[in-house]
Amino acid sequence: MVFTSITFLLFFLPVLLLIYYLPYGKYRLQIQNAVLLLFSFVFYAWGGVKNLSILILSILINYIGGVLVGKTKNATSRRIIFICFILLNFLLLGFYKYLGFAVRIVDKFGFSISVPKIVLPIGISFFTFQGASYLIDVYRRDVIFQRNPINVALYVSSFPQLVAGPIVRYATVEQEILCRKHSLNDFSDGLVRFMLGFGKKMILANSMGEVADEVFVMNSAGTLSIPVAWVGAIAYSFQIYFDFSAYSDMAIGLGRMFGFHFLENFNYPYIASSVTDFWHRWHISLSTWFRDYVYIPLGGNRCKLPRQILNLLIVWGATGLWHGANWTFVLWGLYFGILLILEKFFLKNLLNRTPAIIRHMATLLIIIIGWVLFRSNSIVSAEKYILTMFGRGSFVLRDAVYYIIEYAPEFVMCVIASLPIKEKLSDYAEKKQSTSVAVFWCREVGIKLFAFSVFVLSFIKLVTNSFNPFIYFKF
Amino acid sequence: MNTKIKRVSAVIFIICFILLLTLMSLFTLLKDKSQRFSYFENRMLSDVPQATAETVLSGTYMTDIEAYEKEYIILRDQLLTADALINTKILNRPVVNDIVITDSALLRFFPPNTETERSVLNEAETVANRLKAHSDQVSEYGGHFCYVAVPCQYVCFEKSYPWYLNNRSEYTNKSSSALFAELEKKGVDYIDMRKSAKNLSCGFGSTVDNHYGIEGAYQTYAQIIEHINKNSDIATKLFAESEFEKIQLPNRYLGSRARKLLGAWKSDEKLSIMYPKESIPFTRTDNGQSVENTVYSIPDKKEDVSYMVYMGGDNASTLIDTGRPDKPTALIYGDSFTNAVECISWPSFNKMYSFDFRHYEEKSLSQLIDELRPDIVICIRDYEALLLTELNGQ
Repeated sequence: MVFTSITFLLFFLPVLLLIYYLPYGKYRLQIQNAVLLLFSFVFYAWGGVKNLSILILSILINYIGGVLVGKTKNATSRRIIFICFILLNFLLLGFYKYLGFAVRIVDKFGFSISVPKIVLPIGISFFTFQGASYLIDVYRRDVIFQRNPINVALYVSSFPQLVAGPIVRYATVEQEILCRKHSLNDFSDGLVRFMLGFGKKMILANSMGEVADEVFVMNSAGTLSIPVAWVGAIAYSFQIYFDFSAYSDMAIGLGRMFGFHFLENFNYPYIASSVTDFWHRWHISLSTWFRDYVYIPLGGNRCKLPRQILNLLIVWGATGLWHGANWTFVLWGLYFGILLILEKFFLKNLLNRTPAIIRHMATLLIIIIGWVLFRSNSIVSAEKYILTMFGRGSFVLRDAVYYIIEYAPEFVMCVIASLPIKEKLSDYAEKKQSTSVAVFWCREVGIKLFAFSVFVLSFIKLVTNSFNPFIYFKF
Repeated sequence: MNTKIKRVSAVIFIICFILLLTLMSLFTLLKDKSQRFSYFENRMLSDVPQATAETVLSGTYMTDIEAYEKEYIILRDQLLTADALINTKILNRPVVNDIVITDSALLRFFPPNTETERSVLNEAETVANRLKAHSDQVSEYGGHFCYVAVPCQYVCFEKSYPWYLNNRSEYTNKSSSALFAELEKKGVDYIDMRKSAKNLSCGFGSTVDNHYGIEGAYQTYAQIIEHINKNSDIATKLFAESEFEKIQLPNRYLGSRARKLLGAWKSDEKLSIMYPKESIPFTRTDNGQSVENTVYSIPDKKEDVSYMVYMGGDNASTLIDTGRPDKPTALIYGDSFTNAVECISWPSFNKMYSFDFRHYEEKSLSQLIDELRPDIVICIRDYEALLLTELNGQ
């Protein structure tokens, strides 16, 4: 199931809200947790009932692993159990996501191994990493293992962030699973966030996706011109940002409606002034996962320069691979890894001396090129596209002009939505609302009216559009 | 006070949201789903998906359910219309629902660079060879074969496309030149209505539909009869425009292009019909069954009309029999572009057979020519279908 579907909006969510908020009394929270868990299973099973078994298996691995690691006193035994269960976690992911890729690599050496067609369960990368983070935190004694399987199951499979993140740390939600409060403000603010995220996806991401899809088809057909290549690359950059951040907004919004407070996953990445800055703003939950569970255990910054560089390359290669079982993703990850290394160790002084606007434009250019690599089906296709962007192609304006005129409203909205205008307005309102009635009304009532309008317009788009899967669902 | 306002606004906001979703879901569930025809989309909506173990396990059933829900959601037509209105009136997009919106007409949208490198010359030769074979077959017994190429709407309004949109002119010119050159070479009689028509973008082609209106159909009919009279010994009466009574239908004309915009684009164009002033009784047989002896299918005044007014839409086979053996017999074949011409041309013939090989499968064209031996065989193809070899391109 996806949030932007009739099934979710008209049937799943209203029924869930009704049943969730019905219970009262001493065991209210336990019942609510059970309800959330049940509905999360239904949510996931809606994409294919047989995928549910994989989710339940992942939950069991992390629950049993957590109990055993938590209860075992002997350090060596603890370590062995931990390694076994972490391996089980990643074997599950490896089998469903990377087996085909591995076989293709092995086949290049003259072997001919046949692999049955394996359907990738939706969101397996997300819930595997989420479950693994719980196990690692238990092992490190950062959190106490959870005895109640429902609570672990709820943590791993909670539907708001189950299939496309953010990757939530157990420590963030542990207290809220056990004793969260529900408030009108949380519900209302969460609903606003959900509605605006819904609008981001339906109005911005989907429109940019139409442009990007058509342009990348032109690249495959060999009919791509230079101006259209740029339009397509920029459109895809907007698509992936608004698609993914929309899902995070909806996840965070829905979480708040049920009393959970997930951390932010995006912080206006397209205003970044360096690649390092970009990765502090983009998919924050993933980059911090790799920092805390891969980079730091490898030694992080506490090693000599060659080792630090190797650590970074490992982390970014793995980050690329996490996104997909294809060399384009690995190359994309390494692309950013190398740039980060250059920024961190060799270009720091130059960056400090460069005017902010140039740093910003250069960063945007680097990011856009990276997205072309990310979106392409193959390295050859990516190369063809990028070379066209930089002059190897015809300079026919016609098609580019069509896309710009046809999608002008969306392009403008994308630029505006990429800027931290909301935050600036919010800060201003915070200062002024105690003295200004207009500001107060805008803040409290205006934003709700705006969100509701966006939701209605987006709902119209939902009815008029065909099925629209999120990009990150394939991870 | 502020806290109270904040609280009240939050409560109202939440109630509105829940009410909206609840009412929509309830009315969608209760909606009468027996009405399966979507008027604006001109198609049947999907059936209830059937759940099987395989489809549920794989998730296909749930995907189908979602598609089904989208098709039967309450207020669907109104929501689609609202979307069309927003895009046309507020956002002023040049292309909405694959329709190019210009000052003069609603046109078909061709995505950028969709023309693949096709072997136009080879295709033209193949088509011309087939037409030559039919022409020879008809000539053998003294009949006359005539191929008529009719410009479809995007050809009529080529110049109305904004410069940045694909109007397919390059392909149009290439394909038509190649075909006509082959027809010339092979000595097949043909008419290019693109050259012969008066005012392609003002009267010939429709502003809201892919087809022509009765005016364009009349021009085509007149050209055909003049051509046959000039190039053969078969004397065929050409009914002048003044010999017809032209009636403009008051109904809103919702052509194929306008329909895709759900009527959001206002058009003054009306559909007209033409009856011969001279009373000529006839019988009509569709697909072997006797039907009402009329060539027009006119709905109630309050209903919209479409190109289906002409001949009641596409039929596999039609026979109009006027019982005048002194007049020639004609066989017309092609797709929907024949319909409007048939409505005007039947008075010129004793019998007028009409076949649409998209729907007619009993016999081939050659077999029909052999069996019926019509005096005149007319093939009407629009510019988009010039080089197609399937079905009506046989």
